[in-house]
Amino acid sequence: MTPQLHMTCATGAALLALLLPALACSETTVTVLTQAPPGRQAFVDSETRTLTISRGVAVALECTAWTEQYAGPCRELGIELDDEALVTVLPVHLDALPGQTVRSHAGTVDETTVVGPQDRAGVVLVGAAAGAATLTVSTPDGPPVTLDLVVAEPPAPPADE
Amino acid sequence: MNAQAPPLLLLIPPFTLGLLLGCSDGQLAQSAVDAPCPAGDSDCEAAPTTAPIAAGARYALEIRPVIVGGMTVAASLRSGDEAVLQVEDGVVRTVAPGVAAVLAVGDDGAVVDFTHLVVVKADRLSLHRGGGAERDERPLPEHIQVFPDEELSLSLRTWFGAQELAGNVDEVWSVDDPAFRIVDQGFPQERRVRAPAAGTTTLTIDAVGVQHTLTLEVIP
Repeated sequence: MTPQLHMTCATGAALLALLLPALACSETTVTVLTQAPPGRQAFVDSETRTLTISRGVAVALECTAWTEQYAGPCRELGIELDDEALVTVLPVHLDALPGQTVRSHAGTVDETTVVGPQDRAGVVLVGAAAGAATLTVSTPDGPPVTLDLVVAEPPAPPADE
Repeated sequence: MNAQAPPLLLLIPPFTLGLLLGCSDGQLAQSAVDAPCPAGDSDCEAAPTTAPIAAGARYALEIRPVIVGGMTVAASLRSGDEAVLQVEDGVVRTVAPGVAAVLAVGDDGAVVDFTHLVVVKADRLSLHRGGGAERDERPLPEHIQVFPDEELSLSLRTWFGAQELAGNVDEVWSVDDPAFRIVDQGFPQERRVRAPAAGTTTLTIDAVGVQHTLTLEVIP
């Protein structure tokens, strides 16, 4: 299953509601879209909220958010690192078509939500130097997602015989 | 409007998206990744482009962005780790063993797709009769006999154990008897050798730190 990280209403919703009324019920989801090649790392541990990638490896992340008024790609996506030397952050084009969803929600009031066709939002990270840092994905559409980022040194190639 | 859960898209694994989008080799399923093959070499064309590449080789990787709806974009290649591979004039040059991303970056600076290449140090070479689509898969032994004035077409392959490596390496071909003539016709890792009326020579090929020899004996 594609790894995802959420900042949900269930985590401190009451406090957030008091402090940040605009985010009273909102969620930001960061999805790791790609896998590492064999022998390298590009995965997220959702329990420890740690994203690990090997130096030289690229990984694509997608950000989505929803509030009571909005559901879709993170608008004004921001990436903050406390050590920018560890990874190269690049914008990414993600095909919009698979993300276009039109559906009805059967609740107390039957309403229809249209997700898309706004471009999906994401970034590509490329491990540049081994080390650890804090990565924060931010959007005005939801609470920030903060991850521990670890860039691992790749294993040494086999020694010459 | 009611608040909604994250889009259904997030429940679809990326590889499934790739299948939905059709044949695509990039990790974002937004491009086709190819390496050029000799004209008419259907075995090469049918082979995957995922073979490891010899360190010290040039590899003409082609990433063709394929956007939904049949669109494409102009894109250039970018290395994820220049200690492992570099991009020079659109061609990948491998530097040292390792794994590195190669990113196709559009003219707006956004990554359209990427792949990863594996670079390994070649540990042996092999020589084969013929070249391109006519290449004989069987490696030549260390000693062969030829007729007077016979002309041979030879091709070089690089290996890591049992695995053939991709990429064109810089190689030096030499003979200890100049009566045997070596002609470079511009095909990577291929030479034509013309034997004299009589004699024996050792053909030596040096490439990526590995040496291979072949003894040619003219049988009158």
